Amino acid sequence: MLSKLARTASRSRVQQNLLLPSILLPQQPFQSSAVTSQQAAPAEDHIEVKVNGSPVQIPKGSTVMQACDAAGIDIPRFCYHPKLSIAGNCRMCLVEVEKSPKPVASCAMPAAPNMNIKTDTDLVKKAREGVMEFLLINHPLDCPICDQGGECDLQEQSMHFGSDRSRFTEMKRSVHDKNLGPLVKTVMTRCIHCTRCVRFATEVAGVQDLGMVGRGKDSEIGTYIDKLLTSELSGNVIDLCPVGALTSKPAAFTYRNWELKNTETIDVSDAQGTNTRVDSRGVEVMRILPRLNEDVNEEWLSDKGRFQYDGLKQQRLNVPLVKGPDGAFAPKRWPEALEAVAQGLQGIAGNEMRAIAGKLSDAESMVALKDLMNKLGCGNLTSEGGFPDLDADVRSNYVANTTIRGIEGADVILLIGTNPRIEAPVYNARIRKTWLEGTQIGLVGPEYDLTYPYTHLGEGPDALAAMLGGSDFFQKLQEAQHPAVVLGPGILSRPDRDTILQQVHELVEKAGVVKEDWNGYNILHDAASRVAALDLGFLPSARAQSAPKPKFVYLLGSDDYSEEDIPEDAFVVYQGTHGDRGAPRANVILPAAAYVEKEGTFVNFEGRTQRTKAAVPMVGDSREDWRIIRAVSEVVGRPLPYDTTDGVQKRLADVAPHLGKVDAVESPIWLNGEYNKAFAERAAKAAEAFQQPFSSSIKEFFMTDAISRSSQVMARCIQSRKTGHPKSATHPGAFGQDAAAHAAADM
Amino acid sequence: MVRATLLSLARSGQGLYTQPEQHFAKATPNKGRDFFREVCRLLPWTVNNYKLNELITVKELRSNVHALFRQNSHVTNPGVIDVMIYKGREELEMVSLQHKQRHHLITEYVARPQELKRQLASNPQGSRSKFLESFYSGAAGMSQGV
Amino acid sequence: MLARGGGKRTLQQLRESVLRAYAAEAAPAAQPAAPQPPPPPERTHFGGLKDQDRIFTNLYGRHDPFIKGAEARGDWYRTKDLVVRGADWIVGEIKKSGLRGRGGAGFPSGLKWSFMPKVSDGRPSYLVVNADESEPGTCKDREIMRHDPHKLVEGCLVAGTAMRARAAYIYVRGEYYNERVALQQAVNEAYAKGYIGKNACGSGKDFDVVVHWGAGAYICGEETALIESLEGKQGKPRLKPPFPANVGLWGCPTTVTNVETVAVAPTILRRGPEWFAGFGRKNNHGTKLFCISGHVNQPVTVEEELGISMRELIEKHAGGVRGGWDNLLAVIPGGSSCPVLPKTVCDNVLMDFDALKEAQSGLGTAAVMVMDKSTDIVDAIARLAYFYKHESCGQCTPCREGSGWLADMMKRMVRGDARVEEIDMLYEVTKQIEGHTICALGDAAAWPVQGLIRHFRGEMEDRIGRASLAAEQIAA
Repeated sequence: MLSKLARTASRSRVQQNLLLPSILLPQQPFQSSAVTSQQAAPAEDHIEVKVNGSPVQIPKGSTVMQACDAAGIDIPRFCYHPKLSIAGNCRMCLVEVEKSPKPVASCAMPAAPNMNIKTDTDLVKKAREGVMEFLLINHPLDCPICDQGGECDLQEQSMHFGSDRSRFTEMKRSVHDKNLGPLVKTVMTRCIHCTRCVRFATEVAGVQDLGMVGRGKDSEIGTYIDKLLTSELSGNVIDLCPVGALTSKPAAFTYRNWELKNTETIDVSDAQGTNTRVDSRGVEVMRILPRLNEDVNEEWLSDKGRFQYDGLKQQRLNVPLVKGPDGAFAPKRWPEALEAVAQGLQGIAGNEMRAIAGKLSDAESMVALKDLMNKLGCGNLTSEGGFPDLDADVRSNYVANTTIRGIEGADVILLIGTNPRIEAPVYNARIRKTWLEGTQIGLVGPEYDLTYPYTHLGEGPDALAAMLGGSDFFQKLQEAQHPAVVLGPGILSRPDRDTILQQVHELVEKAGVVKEDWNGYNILHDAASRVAALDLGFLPSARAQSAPKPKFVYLLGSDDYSEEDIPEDAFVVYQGTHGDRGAPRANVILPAAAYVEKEGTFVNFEGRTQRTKAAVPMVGDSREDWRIIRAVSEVVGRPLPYDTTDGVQKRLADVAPHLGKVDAVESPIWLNGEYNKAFAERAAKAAEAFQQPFSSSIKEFFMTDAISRSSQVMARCIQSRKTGHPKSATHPGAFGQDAAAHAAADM
Repeated sequence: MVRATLLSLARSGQGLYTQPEQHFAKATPNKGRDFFREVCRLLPWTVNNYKLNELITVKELRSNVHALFRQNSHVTNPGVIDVMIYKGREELEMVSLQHKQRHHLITEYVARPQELKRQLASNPQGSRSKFLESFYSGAAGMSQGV
Repeated sequence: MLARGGGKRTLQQLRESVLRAYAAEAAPAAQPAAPQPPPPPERTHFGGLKDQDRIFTNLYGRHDPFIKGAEARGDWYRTKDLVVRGADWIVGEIKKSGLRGRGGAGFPSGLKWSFMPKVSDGRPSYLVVNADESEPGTCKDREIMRHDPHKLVEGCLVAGTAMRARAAYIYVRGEYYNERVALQQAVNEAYAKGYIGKNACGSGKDFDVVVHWGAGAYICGEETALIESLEGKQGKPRLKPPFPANVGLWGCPTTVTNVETVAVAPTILRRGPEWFAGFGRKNNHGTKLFCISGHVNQPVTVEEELGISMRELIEKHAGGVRGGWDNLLAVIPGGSSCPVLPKTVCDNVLMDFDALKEAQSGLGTAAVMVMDKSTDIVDAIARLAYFYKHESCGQCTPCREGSGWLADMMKRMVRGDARVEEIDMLYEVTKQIEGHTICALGDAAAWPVQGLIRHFRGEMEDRIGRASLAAEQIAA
C-alpha cells in the first residue's frame, strides 16, 4: 500500500523505474559557451562555473561533465552515454572540484553555480591513471585479434592514461562467453562492466534480458540463463560497447575498421529512413552502422537494417535475362533485352498496361516509370501493399504529421491496428521513451508485446466504435494537451479502410487531436518507397479502374504484388535486384542496383526527404533503376526528357517540390476535415465494416523484402526466435562448428 | 593506357572519308589514309609474329583496324588528327618492336573491334542518343561507388 | 557487576525525570531565570557507566523482551506526548543531546534528520532502519532486536515523527532469523496495542512499521544499496548526489539510520538531552554499545560511556586480554573496516570518534577486535581483504578490480612470496581505490591494509626476507 502511495507521488516513470532524479537523465545537447557568450546577457536559466579557471555559461541542471564539454575540455569516459541513464560506475571521468575532498564523477555530479572544476591537477591525473590500471588488469591483451581493435575506447584511452607496462602479476579473470543469439558475439573477458548494454536493453529496447550477474570481481554481464536477446534493436549494443566484449557475429573476423570506406546513406529496410553509414571494402559491404540524427533515429538502427546486408550478395540478378519460347531464361545483352521489352509492348494499348512499384523503389525510378507509362497512355500505376485506391490528394492524410521527434511531446497516444515494434522498431523506441516520461498509451488491435505497457482497448473496428461512444481512454484523449493517434499500415490494406478512416477521423475531430499548434494524426508506413510513391501520385488514374485486364505488366522491384494484379497471359517485365518472387514470373528481367549501390531519393513516413549514396559498385551488368527506365523509354520510341541524375531530380522537384529539399520535413497543411466529406461518400458506398480484428501488415519482422529474404543472417534470426534459444541457430561456417562443439561440450 | 592509345590511333582514321576544312585542304586529306596503309603493310608480319593466325586472318584483321579508324570519322580538327596519328605511330612502333604482348593485341584488335562491328550492325543508322550509348557500354554517366 | 537495573526503581526514576522535563517545557515563562550554577569541572576520566544510566536494560535477555517486559522497563510510556510535540522539537532535542550516528560514520543525528523536507511536495517521506549489521565483529544491533525490540519500534515512531515520515522500513540482515522473528513479534504487539498503525499512540498520526529482510550481503548495509535492495533490486549503491533525503526509497525522501541510533532516541527525549550530553567528551557524547571480541577472556557486548579508555573497556568488561595486557598485539577498534592499532597506541587511546580518528583509525561500529601475540596479523588482514573482495558489489571499477588485486597480493604477503617493493605498491593500490569509488566499501577495503602497512611493515618485510632466504636455501 505504501509503495503504491509512493509510486503515484513520484513525478515521472523514469524516476520510478530507474530511480534516478531528473538531473541524472541525459540532457539535451546544448550550445557551447562560444555560442552562448555571443548573446548579450547570459540567459536566466544559465549558471556560470569555472573550468580550469576559465568561466563557462551552462544551462541549469547540467552535469560537471557537460560543463567541461562546453569548455572544450575532453573528459575520458566509458560508462557515460548521452542517450542512456547515468551509471557513474567506470570512474574514468573523475575530476577535482574545489572544496570536495575526493575527486567526483563528473558524469553524475550536477554543476552548481560558481563551482570551480579542475581537470588538469595531479589528483585528477592520478585518479585517471589508477582507474585505467584497474580496468586493464583483468582485460586480456588480445587487441591484435579483437574486432574492436582500432575503434576501441579502452585502447584509445589507455594510450593517454595507461602505463607502458603492467604491475599486475596475478592471474587474470576468465569469463565464460555468453551466447546472445545469431547477431551479437560476446567475448566476456574483455568486458569492463560499464553496463551500457544493460541500460540500453532495459531503457531503450525495453527488454529485461540483460543484467549483471554475480558480485565483485566475479560479476558478469549476461542473460542469467542461456537466452536469446529478443529485441529488434539488439545490434545497437555492439555500437554501445566501448570495448570488444560485444561485437557483430555475422561480421566476426572479416575486417579491420581502418580498411573500410565509409559512406553516409540511409536505411530502407523500413519506412523510418534511419540514417546509416555503410562501411565497405572494395565491392563488399562489410557492415552498416547508424548515424546520429536526433530527428529520425537518434543513434539506433534496427537489426534488419544493420544485418541484412549479406542479402546483397545472395540471389542477385547481374545480367539481363529474357525468357525463351521454351520457358527458360537466357542471359542477354542490354540492347537485346530492351528490344525484347519493346517487342512485348508492341500492339498493346495504353490502358492494357500496368506498372507496380516495389517496397524499395526510389523516387527517381518511380517518377521515370510514371512519366513513361503516362507517355504510353497508361495510368494504371500502383505501389504494392494492397491499397491501390488510397487517395493521395491530401498529404496530411498519409504521413506522420506529428513527426518522429514530435511524438515525444504527446501525452496520450492511441495506436490503431499497428505493431510499431516490428513495423518501425526505432520509432517504437521513441514511443517507449515518451511512455517513460509518463505518456499514456492505448492500443486497438491484437495484443502485441510492444515493450511497454498500454491500455488494450479491443481488437477490431467494434472497439473503435465503442471508443467513439465514450470510454475512459477516449476521455483521456479529449483531456490531453497533445493527444496523438497512430494508424498502422495494416489498416490501409483492409477492404473496409474507408469506413475505418471515417471512424478515426470522427475520433480525431471529437477528441481534438488536431489543434492550432499540434497535429496528432499519424500514419505509420512499413515500406521505404511508400510515401514517395504517394507524393508522386504513383497511383491508378480515375479511368484505370474501368480498364480491361492488363496484357503488359512492369514490375519495378515488386515482389509482394497480389496474384490478381498479373493475369496469366500478361507479358511481364521485372526490374529488380534479387531473384525473388517477381523475377521467375517475368518474361524479361532487367538487373538493377540495390540501395547501397546507387543514389536514390526516399521519403520516410514523416515526410522527410533523404538520399542514399552509392557505397559499392553495382553488381555485374546491372544499372541504376531510373536509367533502365530511361533506356526503355528510348527503345520503345518515347524517350524521356532527362538523362542525368540532376535532370531526373529536377523533374522530381517539379512533380513534388519537397522532394527537392533533402533532409527536411515539410509539415503538410491539415485538410482532412474537408477531405472527410469525400470519405463519407466513399465509406457509404463501401461495404460496411467487416468485423475482422486489426492486424499488423508485417508477419515476419526479419523478412519483409527481397534483400532481407535473401539474407542468411535474417534466416538464422527467425530460426532462433522460433525456439527462443540462442544455440538453435549456429553459424554454418568454421566458427559455427566451434560453437557447435562448444554446445556439445556444455551438454 | 594501351587502350587510350589505341582509341586515339583509331580516331585518326577520319581523314579517309571526311572533307577537311578549307584552309587545311592541301595538307590533310591523305594523312589518315596514308597511315592506315602504313599499318596494313605491317599486318601480315603482326599476324605471324604474334601467332594470331589461329584466331584471325590478315584480311579480317585489316577489316578490324578499319573499323577502329571509322570510329573517329567525325573528327575534323587537323591538329587533333595530327596528334592521333602521332600516337598511332607510337603504338605501331611498340607493336613492331614486340613491346606488346599477344593478349594485348587479341583484346584490342581482335575482340573489341568485333564488338564494335556488332554494335554498328544492330544500330546502322547511329540513331542512339548519347545516353543510350553510355547506358549500353555501362561506363560513362553512371554513378559508380568505387 | 553486570546486573542491569530493570524493575521498578528505574521506572520510577524515569517517570520522575520525564515529568520534570514536561513540566519545564509546559511553563517555561513561569520560571524566573535562575542564576547559572558554576560549570562543573572538566571531566578527564570517562567510563564506569552506572546501571541507572543504561539505556538498554535488557541487553542480555534476562527479562521479557516483549511488550509486558518492555512496558515495565519504561518503553511506550507516554510516547504520545513525545510525538505530539512535533518534529522540530524532537530534532532540537536530539541536536542538543549531541547524538552521533551509531552505524559507523558518526554523523550528527539531529542534523541528518533535519535534512528531510519540512513540507512535502506530494511524496511521502520514509524512515529506513539499517539493521543489516554485517560488519565483521559487530553484534550490537542483534542484541537490541532480540532482547529489546520495543526500544527500536518505539524509536521508529519517534524518529519517524522527527522526519515527518509516513512509515518505517526495518531492513534486517538475512542471517538474523531469530532477531527478525522477535522484531516482528514486537511490531505485531505494538500494532495490537495501537502504538503504531492508524492514529499511532493516539497522537492522530498514522505510522506503519514494516520488517523486511535481506539475503545476506555486506554491501546492503550501505544506505543506498539498502534502499535498492528494499526496492527488490540488486543491492548496488547509488550515486550521490542526489542524497536519500531528497530521492530515496521509491524516489521519495528517505533517511537511513542505524538501529542503535533509533533505539536510543526515545530514552534521550524522556531523560532529556542534557542527561545524554553529560556523558563523554566534547562532540562525542552519550553512551554506546561496545562489542568486544577476539582474544579476551569474556567476549561481551556492553553499554559504556563514550570516551572510556580502551584498556579499561577491555579489562573491566571483557575480563582482560588473554594472557594479560602485555600479551596484546593489536586491536581493531571499530569493526573490520577500521585500520588496526598496535599495542603502543592501545595503551592510552580513548574509545570515541575523535580520539580514534586522531590515532588514524576510527570508532566505526565500536566492534573491538582484540588480537594477542599468537595472532598472524598479516593473515588476519589478508582474511579481511578476502572478505572485501568477496563482498564488493562489482559496480564500479576501483573496488571491483582493486579489492581482488589486494586480496591476491595479501595472500602472497602471508607466505612472504613477494618482493619488498611490492609493499609500497600495495599501499599505492590501496590509495588508488580509496576515495575513487561510488560508496565507502572501496575505502573499507583499503583501510585495513593501510593500517597493516602503517604499523606492521617490519613484520611483512621480515616474512618476505625469511621466505626468500628459504627459497635460496632450497635452490642451493
